Amino acid sequence: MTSVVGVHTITPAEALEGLSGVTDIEPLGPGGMPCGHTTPEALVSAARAIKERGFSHLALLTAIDGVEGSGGLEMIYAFKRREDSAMVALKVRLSDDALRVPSIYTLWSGAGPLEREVYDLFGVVFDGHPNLNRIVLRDDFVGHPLRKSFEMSGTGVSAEAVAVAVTGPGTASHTAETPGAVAGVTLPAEFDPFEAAAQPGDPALHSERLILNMGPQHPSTHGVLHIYLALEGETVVAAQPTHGYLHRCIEKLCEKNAYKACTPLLDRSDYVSGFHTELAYMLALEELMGVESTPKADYLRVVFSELVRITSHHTWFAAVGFDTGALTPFLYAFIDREKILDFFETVTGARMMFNYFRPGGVKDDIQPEAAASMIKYLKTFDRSMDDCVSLLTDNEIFRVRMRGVGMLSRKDIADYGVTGPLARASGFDHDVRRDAPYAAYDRIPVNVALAQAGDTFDRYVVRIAEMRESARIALAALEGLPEGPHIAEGVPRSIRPPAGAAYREVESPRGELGVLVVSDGSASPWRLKVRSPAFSNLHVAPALLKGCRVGDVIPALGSVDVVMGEIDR
Amino acid sequence: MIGMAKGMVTTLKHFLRPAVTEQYPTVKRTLPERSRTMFVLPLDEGGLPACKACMLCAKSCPDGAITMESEKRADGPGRVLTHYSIDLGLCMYCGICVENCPSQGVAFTGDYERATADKGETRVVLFAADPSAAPADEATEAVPAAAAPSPPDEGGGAE
Amino acid sequence: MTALKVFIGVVVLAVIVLVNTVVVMYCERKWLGHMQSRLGPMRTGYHGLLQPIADAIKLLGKEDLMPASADRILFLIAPILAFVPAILVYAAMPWVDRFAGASFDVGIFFVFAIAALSPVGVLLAGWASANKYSVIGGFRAAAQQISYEVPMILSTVGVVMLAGSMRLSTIVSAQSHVWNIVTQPLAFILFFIGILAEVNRTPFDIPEAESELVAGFNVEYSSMRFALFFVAEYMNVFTVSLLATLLFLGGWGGPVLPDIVWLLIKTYAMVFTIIWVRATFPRFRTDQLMVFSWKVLIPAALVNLMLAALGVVTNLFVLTAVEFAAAALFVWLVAKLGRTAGDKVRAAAEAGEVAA
Repeated sequence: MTSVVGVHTITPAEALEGLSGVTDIEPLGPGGMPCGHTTPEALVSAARAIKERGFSHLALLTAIDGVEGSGGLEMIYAFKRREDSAMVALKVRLSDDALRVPSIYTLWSGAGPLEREVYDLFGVVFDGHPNLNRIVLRDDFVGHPLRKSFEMSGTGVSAEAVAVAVTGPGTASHTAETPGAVAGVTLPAEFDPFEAAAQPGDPALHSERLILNMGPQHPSTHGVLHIYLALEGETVVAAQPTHGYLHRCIEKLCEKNAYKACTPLLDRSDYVSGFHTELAYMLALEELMGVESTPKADYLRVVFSELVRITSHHTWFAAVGFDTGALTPFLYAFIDREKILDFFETVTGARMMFNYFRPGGVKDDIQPEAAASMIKYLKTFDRSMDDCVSLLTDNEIFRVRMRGVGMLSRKDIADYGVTGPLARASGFDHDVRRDAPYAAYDRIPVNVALAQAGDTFDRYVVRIAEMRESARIALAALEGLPEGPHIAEGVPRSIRPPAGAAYREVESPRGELGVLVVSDGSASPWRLKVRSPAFSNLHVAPALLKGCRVGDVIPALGSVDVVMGEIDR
Repeated sequence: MIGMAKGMVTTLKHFLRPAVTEQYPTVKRTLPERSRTMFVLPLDEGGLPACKACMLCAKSCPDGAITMESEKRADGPGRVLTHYSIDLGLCMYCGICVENCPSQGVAFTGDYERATADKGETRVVLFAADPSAAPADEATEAVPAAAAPSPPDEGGGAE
Repeated sequence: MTALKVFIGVVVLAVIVLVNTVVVMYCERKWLGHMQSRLGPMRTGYHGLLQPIADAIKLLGKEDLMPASADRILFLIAPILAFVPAILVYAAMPWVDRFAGASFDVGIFFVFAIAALSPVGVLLAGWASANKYSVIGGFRAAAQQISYEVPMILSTVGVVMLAGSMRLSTIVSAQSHVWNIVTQPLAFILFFIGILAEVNRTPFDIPEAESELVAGFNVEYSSMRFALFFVAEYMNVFTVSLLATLLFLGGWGGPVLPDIVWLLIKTYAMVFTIIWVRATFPRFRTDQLMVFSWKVLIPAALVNLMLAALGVVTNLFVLTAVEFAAAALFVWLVAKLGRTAGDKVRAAAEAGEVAA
């Protein structure tokens, strides 16, 4: 896939050529991105070279336990060129007695949390990582669950483990002896609260800065999220999110289930917009199986993706209003949302956990009356949005709260791998639906909402525009619904795709959501990884919140629109 | 303050319109036909469950919520169902059991009011050939075949 | 005998005020609900009429907690100090032409003086709770109330000048031909904003907002003490609505219907407006709130004072004309400030992005 813009346009395959230490370049699965194999020693220089060759977005960083029973595991890194969504990948093979790899934290700050997740779930140690602690599991957890050798039974935490603080190789967590630490709490190494609280130039006086714990129980954090804030008066000088309270080991559960049974589990990952994870999974699965979905199914997938984008943004809108103190937008948004949820229940059978997409199409055909009533609703959508929006967009108090607040710079977006409306609000003109179309998006035009200043208000404006655009797209798809079957012929009931891997991305309401499916030829996936956009978006919080006032923290976080289910899985 | 005035006009408009609240349980909704709700084993003309005891539902349930027992049929090949129960506390209402069943042996009823305060009541026996042998839970039976829901879409599945 | 009459009078007045407070509580639940397209309380009594009683019973039934390190005496006194001024102002407020309390020469001055005591209760509550966030919340709430007292009181000086007296019943009689809201619209706008901030209502309800990081000053209070704060707040809403009616809406004047009915209609119309504002607007951040009071409202109140003085020496038509012009200018100015907020930071960010 060659880009047609820019002076130095190289194909993804060319991007991997000539890099020292990179060998065996082959596609990642059928029709997938070129993937080169490299060694831990050559990893950082290869990644830097790929970044310099234009692939500046770190899309995927994860591990796959030893394929085909060969032991050890494989690290996989995927890089994306934002301009045309071209991707390349690197794989590093590690053996069980040498699970160490250099960290690429210096190239992308967003690699930090991703590497922590791999350490947590696989036990790979990243040399040079500033803060290698567990991120989704509790700090005293023993073992690394996503290894095949880890048996799933009980709670996974033995009685002895509860009393033991894990200090594995490369970790640098505070123990009870560290001054200022609280018993039972392990702080990340880089976040010494008293160092953060100390005045520059006067380390003895700790009295000016305040440590505030926001969450995990708080009426305003969206989901169970915990953030350490170091405050100097009213200004935030440091912020650090902690999550993992909603970890349900979805990825491990998927490895035990048949392919079709993974769909309801993935619904629960990003539970606010379940269709997107389902769709990414289905696209990857169809690529592996060599199955194509029918035209009618393509259009139906677009309809449901856009409608669930609307409901997800409705939820965000309700939260934005509530965060700034307006009580009523919450109610209006949820009233409007009901009609879409009723439509979902009529066609798919459920309001939230749909389990509707199947390899080759969708489970049931859409009823004509349901389609007609949804068309009628979508035609009045702009007017009902005007109602909701009149409460906030033009309201002077809202504007004073949101404009100029929570600025996110382009550099931070590139560095942390931020995608979705957050990136588009700062001028990044990228949208997977338009740049790398899937389902019926190559037949239905998508106008991407863009803003330039990157503050909370711009993120608000971008999402409102996206809601209206989604309604237009869904209406166009429903009105142009082709005839034909809703699922491809000849798809076997019991799915056993040939061995291989596939990675497909979709544009979810939070950003670029990708699903990596690795198959070993059996009836269950060998590895199923969800690339969560909210995970990368949340970890830009330290850069986002620095310099904010206390009263702005909650609206700024609300504008990031996180869903903890997707972050923790 | 023009923007603020716009907002006040909207709120006033909603104040003058009727509220959208449906006062449950005085007003109850009928759920759409495809809604995934409480389970039932439809019966055939002879009053016996249509279930062929192929165990496909139990094997494909992602949560392992289904427990069934069967014995060899006395008159010919195949098996006959003797006990079927679902642990609603484990069930996630994904509908895979209903979708995979080749003989419409399990279906949804549309009943969504199944909340209980007793965890012991979550395991519901849907069929027991010998009721005295079954645990003294709620036993839901007897949806006559005539009332069984229409067959699920066969969407191109080859066996 | 006289002592007995006074005692009965006090009790009757207190009962009337408390009944109205309870009605205001009910109205808020129902009207806020209907503005949000929902029903509000429906189950406790017919259409939820007994809801305030249910709330009271619930609050009384809670455990009465006091933090171990709290300042005992101050902790106990603070809710009383918040509640007493709320009800004491009714001593000077007339309901009809004949007084329910006492007819002071300095009626309105008395009302504002007593109302100025309420920040003390709030401060004490925050301090006595021995919780650093309560202290901060108490400081903020007290600062807010003290800051907004200035424009609120300044805007009523014009009314007093025109009526020629501080006695509330005289102010009402002076409006028998035309209401003050017509002759002094700018004063009314400033007064309305001031009373919203005085009673901690949206958009100035930071001290008691649930979704803010720092908890409010009354977070450590439970049961009856919390009930005192809670009731004091709704009583304040009724008080300021009544004040607004007396000062700007012509009090009990009106055709056909008896005086008291008109008074209550107008007062509850003000209560409705306060609830309407709560349903619609988000809230200000603390520093924005303070800036708004000191840099926008107080200069506007001083301008209003000058215009009122002009109206005293000329006539009502001139006054009405200049006040309407000033009010339009004020509205336009606030709208412009609101619409262009953050523009400089945004422009810098956009320029920075493009250059990068």
